[in-house]
Amino acid sequence: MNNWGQENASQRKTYVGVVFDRGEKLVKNEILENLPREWSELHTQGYIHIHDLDAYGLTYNCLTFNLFNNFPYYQFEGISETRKIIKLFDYYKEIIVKIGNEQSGGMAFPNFDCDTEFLLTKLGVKPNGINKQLIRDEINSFIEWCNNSHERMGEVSYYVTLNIGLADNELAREMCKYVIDEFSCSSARTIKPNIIFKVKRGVNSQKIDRNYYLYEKATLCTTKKMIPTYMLCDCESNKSYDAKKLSIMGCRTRVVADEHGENTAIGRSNIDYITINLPRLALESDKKIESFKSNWKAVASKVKDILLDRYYKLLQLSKTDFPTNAKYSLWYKDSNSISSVEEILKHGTLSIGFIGLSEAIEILTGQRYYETNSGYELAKEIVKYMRSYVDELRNNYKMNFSLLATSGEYISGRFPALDKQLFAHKVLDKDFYTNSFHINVDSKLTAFEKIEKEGYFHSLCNGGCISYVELKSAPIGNSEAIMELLSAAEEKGVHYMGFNFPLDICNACGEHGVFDICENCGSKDITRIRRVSGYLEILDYFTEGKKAEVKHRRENQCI
Amino acid sequence: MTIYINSINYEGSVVDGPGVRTVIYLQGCNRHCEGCHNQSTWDKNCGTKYEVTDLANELKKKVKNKKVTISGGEPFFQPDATCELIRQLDGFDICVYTGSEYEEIKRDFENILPLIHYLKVGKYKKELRTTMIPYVGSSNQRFLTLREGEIDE
Repeated sequence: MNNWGQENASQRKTYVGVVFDRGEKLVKNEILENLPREWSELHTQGYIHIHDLDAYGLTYNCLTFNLFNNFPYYQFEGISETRKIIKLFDYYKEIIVKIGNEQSGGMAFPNFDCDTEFLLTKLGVKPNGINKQLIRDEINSFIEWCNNSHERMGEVSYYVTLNIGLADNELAREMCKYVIDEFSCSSARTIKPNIIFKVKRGVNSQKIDRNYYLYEKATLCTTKKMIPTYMLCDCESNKSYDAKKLSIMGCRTRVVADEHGENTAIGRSNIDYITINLPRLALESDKKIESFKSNWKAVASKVKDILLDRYYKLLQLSKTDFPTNAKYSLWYKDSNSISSVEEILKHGTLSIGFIGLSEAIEILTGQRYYETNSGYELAKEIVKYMRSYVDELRNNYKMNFSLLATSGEYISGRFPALDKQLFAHKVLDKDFYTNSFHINVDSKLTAFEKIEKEGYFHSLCNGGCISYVELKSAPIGNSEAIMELLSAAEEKGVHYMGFNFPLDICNACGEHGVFDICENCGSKDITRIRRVSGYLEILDYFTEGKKAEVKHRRENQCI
Repeated sequence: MTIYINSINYEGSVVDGPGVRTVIYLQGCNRHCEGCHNQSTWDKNCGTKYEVTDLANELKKKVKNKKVTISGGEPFFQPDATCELIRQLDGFDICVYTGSEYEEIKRDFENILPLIHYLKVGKYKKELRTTMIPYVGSSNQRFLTLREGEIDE
């Protein structure tokens, strides 16, 4: 049907993968045919993109695990400490695989270091040398498994995120250290899981802080691997929350404020999300800001209807449709205490996303938003406008509507391809749209300037967002630079931050750099690793839109 | 006193010493290392002429994080001007990239050494090129952290 190759950066070429892929397309078409025509046309014509369409009415998107609702302690009775350690990590893998069959999106551990320590201690595992070595080996093996297990959808690895950094006792700090050390020394092709280091004053971000050495280790690892990325717990939009209850799911999903309970990410989901194509609406607005806004609101109102319809369809399911969650209660509440899935799902977010703020403003004003003060003011005005409508929905429906700075993996190419059939404009020449509120990848801004401009939008995008600094090459060993940029980011309101640099790795000799032929040994066996939409991927697997974007990337003047 | 500058990178480098650094490329070098990535700095008759005081004032104004790397060319190819610039950048975190060895710098510029925080020493050797060691171009080169002019191990 489409020639966009892979929708996610992945490969599905085995028998199971092929069957899954074809089945998925058929299901999507069936769902589109059964939706009210007005809704399905918004999607097929490219005004909006309904993400994970095949899961419509079948499941929610993503989840931050609540490991403690109903942890199966009974399964660990009467076995040796060695066996307990191995079994805990087997349990992690088990829930990832099984939840991977029950939901469509990513999964997160909110405090992998603290929670693993808590469970091991509670299970009676003593922190002696032999046990610690085994835990370290199990963490190594778990990281490897996250890269090599291609069970999801027949041929894809799982989107797993480990939030770490707030370890509050010696053994938890060791867990944190093992995660960073084992990832840091892993093979070049080890690009998963997504590890997010929570930066928090009084815990790890200042030299006097107890976990500062872990922050140093994390930033040093980033200088060669691009992972970890960083959640800035002291920034404007995070500082009022308990940092331990914050968690990023998948690549950027943020769930905190709750209309129905306490402010936490733990045990909560994004239910569904839909992205609005801002450049399309700008192209139809004849350079008039007011008509752009009213066009957006008209579409957003339909998006709200679709998000709610999908949510209500899920409410018709029962907890037996989610067997792993019914058994282990990784979600908000103990499954035994609920009579309907509504008690769980109402805590989830319904997210309205956007792509191409930069292109939209270029269409409306003739200039990119970060090039002029008036353009920047307009960008802020538009995002504030979107957020205030989303807040209005939250109040009116008592549902967790959120504004999402979408990761535009597939739509970054799909939307401009559709728009090109209808319009001619120079923003369409490059064949991709810029993600969310991001500044164009070929801008000439310095890293500090980019951080300053994008920071403003982080407080507004309560459904999740990320800012990146693009570096020309790996800043090997320069943890001080990473910390300096993170500190500036926190000050400017950035809540989640990543560092990108082109990483070509010679499989023959291990040389790092940017090259087609290894500059050290002349080998042509090169692995290219780039970050796209929050996850590191091996370049061959990128979607078409993202390949076009990578071609245009220009470093933020940090060389 | 005058100083000849090839260019200044105010945009921030993350590979010329710890932190995000402004790099001042001085003009002139007589080493002519094979594979040099900055050959436009070799000719001593090119470059832009500055008064050292003006350059120092410009840096004080523009470099907010006060981290600079003096590179080249060979900074000590203009020894008096380089030393004067370092003296005038009071309160700055200063890194110098030289092709000389530490012992040579210590012998010839002992007075200025305590004002330098980081020193990259050694000639670039193409056959020892590396991308894996922080802040150096070839594995024979060393990136030193100094304390009162002595190597801080």
